[in-house]
Amino acid sequence: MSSDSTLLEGLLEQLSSADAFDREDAISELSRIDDIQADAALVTALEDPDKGIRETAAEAIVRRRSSYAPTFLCQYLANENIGTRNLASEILTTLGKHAVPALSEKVFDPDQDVRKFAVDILGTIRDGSSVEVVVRALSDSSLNVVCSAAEALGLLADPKSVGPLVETYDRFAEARAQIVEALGKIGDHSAIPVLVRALDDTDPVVVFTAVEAMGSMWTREVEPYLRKLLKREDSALQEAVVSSLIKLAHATDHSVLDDLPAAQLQTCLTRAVRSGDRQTKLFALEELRSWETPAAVDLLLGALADPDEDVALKAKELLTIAATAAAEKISQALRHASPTVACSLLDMIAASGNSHFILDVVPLVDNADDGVRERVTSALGRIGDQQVIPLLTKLATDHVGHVRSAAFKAMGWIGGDTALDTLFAGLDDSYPDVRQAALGAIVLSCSSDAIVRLREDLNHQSPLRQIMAAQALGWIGEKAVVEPLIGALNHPEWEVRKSAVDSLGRIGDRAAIEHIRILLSDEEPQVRKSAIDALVALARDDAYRDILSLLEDEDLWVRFHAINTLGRIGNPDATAEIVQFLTDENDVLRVAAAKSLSMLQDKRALPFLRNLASDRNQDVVGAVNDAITKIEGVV
Amino acid sequence: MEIRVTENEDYITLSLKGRLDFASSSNLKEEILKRVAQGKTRIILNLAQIDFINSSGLGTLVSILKEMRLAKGRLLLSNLASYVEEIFEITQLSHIFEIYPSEAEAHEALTASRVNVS
Repeated sequence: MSSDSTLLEGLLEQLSSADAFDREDAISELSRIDDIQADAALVTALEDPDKGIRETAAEAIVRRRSSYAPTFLCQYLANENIGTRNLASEILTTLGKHAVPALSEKVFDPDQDVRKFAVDILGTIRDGSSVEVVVRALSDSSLNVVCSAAEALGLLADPKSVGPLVETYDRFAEARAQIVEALGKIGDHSAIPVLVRALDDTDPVVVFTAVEAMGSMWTREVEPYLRKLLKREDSALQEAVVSSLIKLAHATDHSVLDDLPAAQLQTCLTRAVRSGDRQTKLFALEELRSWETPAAVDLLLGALADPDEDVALKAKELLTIAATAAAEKISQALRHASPTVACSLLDMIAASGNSHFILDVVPLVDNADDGVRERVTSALGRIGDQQVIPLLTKLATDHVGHVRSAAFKAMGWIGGDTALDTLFAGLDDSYPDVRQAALGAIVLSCSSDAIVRLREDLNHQSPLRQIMAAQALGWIGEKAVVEPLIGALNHPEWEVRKSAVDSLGRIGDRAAIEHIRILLSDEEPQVRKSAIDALVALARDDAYRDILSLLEDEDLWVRFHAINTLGRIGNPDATAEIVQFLTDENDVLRVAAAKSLSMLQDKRALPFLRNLASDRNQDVVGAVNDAITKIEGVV
Repeated sequence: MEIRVTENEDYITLSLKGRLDFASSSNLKEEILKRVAQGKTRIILNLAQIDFINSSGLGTLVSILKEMRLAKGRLLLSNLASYVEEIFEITQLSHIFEIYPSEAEAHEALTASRVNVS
């Protein structure tokens, strides 16, 4: 970028315009000029009355990363306007390492507020090069600056700052909480003696902070000190100690908790699960993994209602494992559960696959909550058998679409054809999900009656039912469906013909070959393409001549598909036919030809490929070069 | 259908090749239940080389899954071809089976046991 002094002057003047659009234009132009005056002007624009202009200026400053901007921005740390000061701070933070030198100078500013802000930002930036200057701020005359320095050192987490922090601990009683917190974040074991002393501090905030800090030390060395605190008559402190012990247990090994008296361990875990922070709750729940006692199950059941989704999910996961031992309690809980908890319990029951719960689940079929009814159907599908089909049939006519869908899915999982009428009725449902679920259930019924009815559906008055019938017959895939599918090859709907061809290709019954051959001249290109694939699947090399005939198909994509398929079949006789497409006017076909020849690896193609090395289309050139490399590699 | 069994320390993999239909699926069920009776209740079914599956095959997989659940075991499926994935979607079986793109990812899911708390 070059500066034009006339332009620059004009833009600087434009910044004073009463019109916000003019000022915004000026900002945009200035952001493209590499000049210190432009930098200064952009920073000044942070005080513009228009929010949009301030944001534009801020984005420009960050984008440019000029070496002057941090110095200009630091001047705004003393600005009386809090908004401007905050914006400058934000930009400095975003500039990151780039802003560290300018901020480091401000750590020694005559204004204590500026010193504090500078230290705060250096902490947030977390660049190691600022550790030394922040350590020096621990000797500041202002308590605010010292506290900020301690917090910043916690964020910087450099073990070199432990010594200075410990010295400051003795000097500045009012900063002890911040210092202890910082030592916890740094996690260096040399700070342990100070943390031990902090446990006896007269300030409860310092004590609590020290307990938490010890939990982050991840060494058993702190364990005795924490355990001693459990004897204090302070339930809030005991909870904090338990949190830290649990963190230690997971960071080191579980023996930290193992030799706690059982009653105390239970108390600890109960408190942790009920009132700890998220991390503590999750750790405590994990401790319950191997417990199948009624007390543990009670805790897990309680945790199902935790407002934190991760905690509730963990409780559900563990209950699923404990389901057998906890069956009685889970059954009881289900009777009185709120809809949210009932849904979690039902999910857990479904996952357990334990049919013991059927009698508990059945009464919920008429529950007013549709989420519960949906979960009931899923659970019945997974733990039930043919005996629950009448209930599922009832749910398949529920007024809520997702309940009906769940009912059909469940019937599919159970299998059998006792509810075929209901399943086929589901194919006319107004919801696509329900229709799909009903279709899936019909497929899973493995029923010869279903095949008969699907065969009839091929002539249904609804084209959608016809298509679904062809799909379902294909998915059923038994020998009995071959004949109706062959019949469907003449269907007036092309989607039905395509579905039938695809299915016959998969089923692999060679009786279909001659019928599929006829479809190579179907009026619909998609059907012709499917016919190619089906013939290859059924007849493999014998399909070669059929595919050759489609090289002259009227549809581009059928020709494309035929070229690709010849390459896949691997018959070298196709080389002579395919090389003709290397000079086709259509790029797509030239690429397909090159790729196909690459698969055939016939060296006779090399001269033709080399002629295309300077094709106008880069994709063609790429495909040709690949083909030459592969063929030459074989030769 | 061929079934190749690989025994690992805490799980087994059955790699299937061919067609999973009525005839072959009953063999598969027998093979799996035999392993479950021996205490091998963590099983990965690698379906990479399954080129055909029909409703009988699906029905048998569902029945195997139910047995695994009762035995507190886990059955994971991996490497489904796009056609096989499609049939699992159509029949909604993708909602009840644990399905993974690769055997490695299935193994990772099988062996992951503790919550990752960040």
